[in-house]
Amino acid sequence: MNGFWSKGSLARYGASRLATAVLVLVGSIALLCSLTLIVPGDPARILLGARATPELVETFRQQMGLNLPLYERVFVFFRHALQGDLGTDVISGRSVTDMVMAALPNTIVLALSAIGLAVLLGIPIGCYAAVRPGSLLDQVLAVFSVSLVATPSYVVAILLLYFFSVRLGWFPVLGAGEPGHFLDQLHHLILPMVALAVGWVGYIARLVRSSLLEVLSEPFIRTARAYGQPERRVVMKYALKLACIPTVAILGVGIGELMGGAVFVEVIFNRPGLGSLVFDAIRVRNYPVVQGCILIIVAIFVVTNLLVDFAYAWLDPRVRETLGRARSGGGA
Amino acid sequence: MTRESLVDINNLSIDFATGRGAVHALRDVNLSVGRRRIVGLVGESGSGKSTLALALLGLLPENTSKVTGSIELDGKDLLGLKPEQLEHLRGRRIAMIFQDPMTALNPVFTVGTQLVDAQRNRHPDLGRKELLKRAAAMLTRVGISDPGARLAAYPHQLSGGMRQRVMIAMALLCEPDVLIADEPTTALDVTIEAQIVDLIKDIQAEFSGSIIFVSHSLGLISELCDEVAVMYAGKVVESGPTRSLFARPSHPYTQALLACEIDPDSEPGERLVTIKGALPDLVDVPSGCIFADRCPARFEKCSQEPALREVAAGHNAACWLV
Amino acid sequence: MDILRRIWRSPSGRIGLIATLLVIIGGLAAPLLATHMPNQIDVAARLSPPSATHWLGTDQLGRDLFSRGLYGTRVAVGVALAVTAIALLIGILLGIAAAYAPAPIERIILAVFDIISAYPSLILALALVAVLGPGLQNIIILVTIVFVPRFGRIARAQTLTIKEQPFLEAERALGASGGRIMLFHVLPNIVGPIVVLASMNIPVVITLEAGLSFLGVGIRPPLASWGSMLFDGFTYIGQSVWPVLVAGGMLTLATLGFTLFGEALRDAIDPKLRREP
Repeated sequence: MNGFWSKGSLARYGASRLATAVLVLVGSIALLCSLTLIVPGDPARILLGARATPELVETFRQQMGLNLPLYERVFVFFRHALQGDLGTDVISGRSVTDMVMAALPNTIVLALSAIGLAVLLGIPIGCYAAVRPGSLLDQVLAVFSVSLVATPSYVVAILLLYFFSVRLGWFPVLGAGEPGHFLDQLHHLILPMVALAVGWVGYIARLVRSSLLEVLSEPFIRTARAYGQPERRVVMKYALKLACIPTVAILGVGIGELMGGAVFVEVIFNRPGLGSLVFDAIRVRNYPVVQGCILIIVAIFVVTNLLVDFAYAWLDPRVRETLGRARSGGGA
Repeated sequence: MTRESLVDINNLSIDFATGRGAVHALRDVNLSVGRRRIVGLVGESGSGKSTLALALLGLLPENTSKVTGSIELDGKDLLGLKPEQLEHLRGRRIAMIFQDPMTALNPVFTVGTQLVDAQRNRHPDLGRKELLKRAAAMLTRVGISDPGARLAAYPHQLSGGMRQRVMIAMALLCEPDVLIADEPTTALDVTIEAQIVDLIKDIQAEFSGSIIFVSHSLGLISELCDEVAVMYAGKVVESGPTRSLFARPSHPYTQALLACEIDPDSEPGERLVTIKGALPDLVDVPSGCIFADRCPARFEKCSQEPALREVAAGHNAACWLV
Repeated sequence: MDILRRIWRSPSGRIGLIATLLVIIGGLAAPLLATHMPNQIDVAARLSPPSATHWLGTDQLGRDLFSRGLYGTRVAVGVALAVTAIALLIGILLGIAAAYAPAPIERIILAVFDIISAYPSLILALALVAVLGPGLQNIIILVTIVFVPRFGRIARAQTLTIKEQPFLEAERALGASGGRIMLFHVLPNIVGPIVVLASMNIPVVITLEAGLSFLGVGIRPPLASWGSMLFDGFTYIGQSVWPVLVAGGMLTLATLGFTLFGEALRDAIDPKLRREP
C-alpha cells in the first residue's frame, strides 16, 4: 500500500472529484428548481387545491421560496443546507433536516446490508463458477442471474412478502421493528434486504465469473503457477484481486439503483426510510421535503461514487498513477 | 551421457486439439540436460520450443490432447505425477523465466509480495520477513539498486529490463535444479538484452543447477550454452555440443539459421524470415523430411524421413546428407 | 436476417426472441385476444382464481386479469418504444452536436448529462414526477429525460472517433456540408452501438414505467398498466395472489425477453461491445 496516500496525486485527484461532486449537487437542485418554473401551474396551488384562498397560496409560495428568482432559490437553499437546514415541511411544519435524519439510518442499514449480502454471496458463487466452468452451479447461475437481474425488484419484494410473510408467516409484514430491539429489527430487515439484494447476487456473480475467467488466462497467472503456488492462492489472491475491480466499478452505479430499489422495498414493506419519505412527499407534492431528500440521495450517490473511485485506486496501483490527471466528466 | 544427465526427455510427442484437428506440436523429441550444463533450444516461433519448456513444468495448455513419451527428472517421470506432486516440484526443483516481463508479473501486487510468494514452495518454513530479506539480497545480486524501494514498487513502476531482472531473481530465489529461460530477452531492446545476457553469464558461474535456454537466436546460444538442440516444426533436427555444432553445422536448417544470423543486412527479428518458405502445417504433417520444402539441398531421398545420425561425438543431425 | 439467425443460434437469444415476439404480438392483438373489455367490472366475481370465463382470474373489481394484462402490454411496450425512440433522437442530436460544437457548448451539454446521470434513475424520475405530475404524457417526457444522456454520451464518443477518420476529412475537403457529413457518414457509423444500447434500454424503461405506476405516480387508472395492476394486487394480496402473479409475470416475461434479446443482439452485432460496462 506504499505510496498510495503519500504521492499527493490522490489529494489532487480528490479535489478535482470533489469539485465535480459539488457542481453536480448544485446542478441537480438547480435542475429541480428550474423545472418548477417551466411547468404550467403553480406548485403551491396544486398542493393546496383549487379552493385555497389567494392569501394562503401566497404564504405558501413564500414558505416554499417560489416567489424568488431561480438563482436566488438555489443560492438560499444551499446557504441554509450548509448550515444544516434543509427547510421546513410546509404541511406538518417539521424541520426537513430532522425528518431526513430520522429516516436516513434505516435506509443506510437496508442498502448496506443488501450490498453486503450481494457481495458475500456473489463473489464466492462467481469464483466457483469460474473455476469450474460448466458445473451445475455454473449452469444454474447462467440461467438464474439473467432471470433475477431482469425481474424488477418490486416484483421480487412482493412475491417474497407473499410467500414468507403472508403464507408462511416467517417474517413480519410491516415496519422496521421495535427501536432498540436488535433482533426484532434484524427480523424485519431480512426480507427487504433479500428483495433488494437478489438481483445483485446474480449480477455480481456473473461479473466476477467472467472477469475471473479472463484474468486466469493472463501470463502472470501462469507465472504464479510455474512457481508452484497452490491453486487456491493463485485464484483467491492473485486473480481475484484483479477480477474484483470491475465489480467495484459497478457498485458505484449500483448504489444508485439500490437507492431506487430502496424506495420500492420501503414502500412495499412499509419501512420508514428515505425512500418512503420522498415517496410520500412526492404524492402530495411537498417540495421542501422532496428537495431535501433528493439532495441527500444525490449526495449519497455522489459520495459513494467518490469512494468507489478511491477503492478502485486502492485495488489497482496502475490507476493511482493517472489519478492526479483530471478526468473529464463526473457523475456515474 | 544419460547416466550423467539430470533431465531426460525421451520420445516426447504432444498434440493440441484445435478446430482443424490435432496439432502435432512436438514429435518424438529426445533431449538430455546434464548437471550444471546449459542447453540451448533454438528454433523459429512455432518450432515447439516453448511447448517443450511448458511441458517440463507440467503447465501445458488445456487443449492438450495427447502426451506420449517421458520427461525424467533425476530418473523420475514427470508425466506420471499427480497435479499436487507437480505443484510441489515447481518453484522448488524447476523454475522458469518467462518471455515477456511486462505481462509475467501481476500488476496489482508489489514486487516484494510476488517474490515472497514465489519462494514459499522452496522455503515453506520461513516467514514473510526472512523471505523479503532474501529477496532484497537477490535483487542486489541481479543488479538492482535500492532493493527496498523496488520490493515496495508495483511492476508497472519498473522498466522492462528491471522487470526481467526481477523475474531472474524470482527464479534464482527458488534455487532450482533446472532453470528454464524462455526467450528472456526477446521483449527487451538490444542494450538491455546485452545486460541481461551478461547477467545470466555472471550467474551461471555460481549457479549449481542446469539451465535450459530457449531462444530463436543462435548468436545468444553460442555465447551462453554448452550444448544446443535445434528444433524445427516440433522435431529436434540437430543437437550437439555448442563448439561442434557451430564448427560443423550439418542440417541445412541450422546452416540457414546461421547464415541469417551472420547476414549484416537483416534486421533483428527479421532474421528467420529470410529462410524461404513457411513452417509446414502441423495438423497435416507432410511425410518425409520435415524441412524438405524449404531446403536448398533437397534430393530424391528427402521424401523419406531421415533419423538423427551422428556427425561427431554427441553431435547428431537428421539429414540424409550427413 | 443474418443477425436474426445469429440471435436464434444461442439458446438465450432464442428464448429472448420468442418472449419478445409474444409480448409484442400480445400487445398488438390485444383487442382480438382479450376475452373481456379491460375495464369491464364484474362485482360478483371479485378476486376470483382462474376459471373458464376468466382465464387468469380477476382483480378486486372483478376485471378480467388476462385482458387487462394484454392491454397493459400496449402501455408498457408503447411507452418503452416511445421513450427510447425520442431519447435516441434527442441523444444522437445532442451527442453529435457536442462532438462538433465549440468547446463551451460541448462543456454545457456534457455538464447537463453529468447532472442528469448524477441521479439514480428512479430518483430522478420521482423528482420529475413531483414537478410535472403523473399521467401517460408526462411519464413519457420525464423518462425520456432520464435516458437522453446515455444515448448522448455514446453518440458523442462514437462521433469523436469517427470524426478524425481520413474519409471524412476527404469529404470535407471536397466541400461537403456539415449536415451532409453528419447525415450520410457519421450517423450510419454510429448506428450499430446505439441500436444495441437502445434495445438494452427497453427493459429498463419498462421496469421504470411499471415501477412509477406501481407507486401510483405513473400511468393513472383506469388505463390498464402492469404497474398499477401490481399495486392493486399488492393491496389485496391477503385475499388473492393472482393479480400480483399475472401482472408481475407479464412484466417479468417482457423485461426478461427484451433483456435476453438485447444481449443476443449485442453479441450478434458486435461482440466487442460486451466489454463496455
